Amino acid sequence: MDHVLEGNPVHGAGHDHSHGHDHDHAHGANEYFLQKLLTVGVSGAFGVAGILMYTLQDTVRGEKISKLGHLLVPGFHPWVLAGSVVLLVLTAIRGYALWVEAGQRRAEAEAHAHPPGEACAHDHVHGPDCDHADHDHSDHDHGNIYWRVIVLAFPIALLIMGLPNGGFSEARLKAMIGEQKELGNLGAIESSGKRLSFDFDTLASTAYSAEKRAEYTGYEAVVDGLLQPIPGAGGKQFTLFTEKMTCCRSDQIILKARGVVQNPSQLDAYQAKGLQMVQVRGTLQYAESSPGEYIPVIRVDPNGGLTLKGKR
Amino acid sequence: MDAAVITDYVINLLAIVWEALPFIIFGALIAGILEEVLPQQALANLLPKQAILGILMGGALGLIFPMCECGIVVVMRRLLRKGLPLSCCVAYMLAGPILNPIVLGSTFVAFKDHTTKAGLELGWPMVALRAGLGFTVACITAFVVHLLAKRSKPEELLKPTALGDMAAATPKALSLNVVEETAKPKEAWWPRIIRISNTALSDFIDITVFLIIGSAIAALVRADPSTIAQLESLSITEPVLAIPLLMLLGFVLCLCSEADAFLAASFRGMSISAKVAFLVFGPMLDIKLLLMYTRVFRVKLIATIITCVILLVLTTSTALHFVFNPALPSQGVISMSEK
Repeated sequence: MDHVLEGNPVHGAGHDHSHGHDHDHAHGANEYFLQKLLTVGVSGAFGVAGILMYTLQDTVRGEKISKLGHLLVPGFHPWVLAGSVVLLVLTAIRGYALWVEAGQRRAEAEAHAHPPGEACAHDHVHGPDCDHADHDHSDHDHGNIYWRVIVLAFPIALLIMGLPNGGFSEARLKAMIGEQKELGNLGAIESSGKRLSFDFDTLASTAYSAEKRAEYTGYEAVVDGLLQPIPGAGGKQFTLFTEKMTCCRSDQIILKARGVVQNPSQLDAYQAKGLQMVQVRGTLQYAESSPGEYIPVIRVDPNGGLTLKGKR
Repeated sequence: MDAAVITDYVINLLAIVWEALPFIIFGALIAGILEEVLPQQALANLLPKQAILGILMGGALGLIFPMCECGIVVVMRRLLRKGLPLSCCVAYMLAGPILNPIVLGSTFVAFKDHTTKAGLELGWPMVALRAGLGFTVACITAFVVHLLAKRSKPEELLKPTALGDMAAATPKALSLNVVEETAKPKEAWWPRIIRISNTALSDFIDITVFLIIGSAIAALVRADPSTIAQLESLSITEPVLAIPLLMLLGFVLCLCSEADAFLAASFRGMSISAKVAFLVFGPMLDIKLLLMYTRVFRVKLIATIITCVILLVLTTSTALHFVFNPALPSQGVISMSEK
């Protein structure tokens, strides 16, 4: 059995600090403490940034949403907050230890002071009582701390600039929807008399199997979504869609349905005005948008079946 | 450059970073505690002496100690320093993000509403395929690493941050009979907490830097939203390319293993084998993980792992394609033609 890493005798009694590189003298106490302070500083800044991401809020469609809400599903927010608090606690502990160490070093330096030229009788082998945990370079490398701090500061700088302040742009959403073609003749569907308010996830999932499509065809569906008119003859169709995040904005997909109005004038208010949030009520059926792929189609009730809820 | 493009880029970057950050922090904390509390060789003593059994156990550790792929790198580095054999660490690192109860649960939820033409529901089969192939690829890769480690010096494979004081060791000297670390005198709790915090912060800084760089690269690749659609379309029109294309997609998207199942499920027209390749490859290797690996492994070892993972995922997914390739979702009630 490979045992590439066995026997790591660190922190034993009376260990010698001459690890093969005399780091303490090579870069000096000032350099050492500066790097440590930068480590503490940037870690603490990240902790504060995480808490601010959780607490700072933007207004979206009249509702308050935290900065994290633009990026992550709500289930992840407590994790970010908890992680940020843990990071701050660790930073505080490290900062305090650094402060104590600085005081000890100054005291040692003052006690060690001797006139120039006088032989130094100080024994530089330290015992287990001195806190030299951070002198063990084998478990970390702080030689390039400066460029790391710059990289780590990047998300913090973005927060200071007010980012994120919303979701993806409309241009990106439209690109994610892709080209939408007008569907051909949709057969008339009789209402079953059953009514159901769908969340978009459920609505989209009903299109996946023939059994569910047969079950829900004819239902009166009520669903909220963003409206994107489809250019084409007649002007009676539109894409109804929503953004679905599973964990974060990066894994976002678009859930789509198709809406059909009887009178093109019902869509006049939505032409060339950007994405609008609407509530659609109508009779549900399904259509094959591409081979093997079905999407829900809602025949919008001509009497108030399309209600504007606000701008995205 | 369009301001909207920049904003979208920033959102992609920040989403990956802030989603991963809590798990890196907790992983770093666990790593700090392990470094301080866990006696040297304690884990190695628990494992079977037989290499293959040890690898199998390492691969299955994710079921007991679930970690996402970001936090696992930090923890794994400390486990290496604590004497867990490299092969076991690699098996855990590769399989852990997949053999994770939350990940397997999300895979089921993502596919449970999907059926084949024959009416087979895909929920449990996809879970079994993902877990089975992931475990297989991880264990075989770990075994190859085991063979490599027997012929190599530790410093040829591992960075100093993972090596600790083993830089002078030779392969022959690395056996179970290496002297255990000397017993530490009982210490007050405060110095130990200080050391834990120091270790945790060092690990956090070390790994997060590469998380941010990897996220920046991934966000750049995703700047054009049609990239995914083009890859999907290409893999439908060129089925032979579907598996490697989906692997490439998994590499550049840098999705967490809990979310990638839903994206894979949304690729309606793709074969099961291509989706499984995506779900197995992504948690093992993506841009940000590759950069994190550079903090632990040398190029030689990284190249070995990458080569093994790519070849194994390609091979097993292609084999799956010929063994289990159910037809696309069943034809529907209404058949329409578009204008």
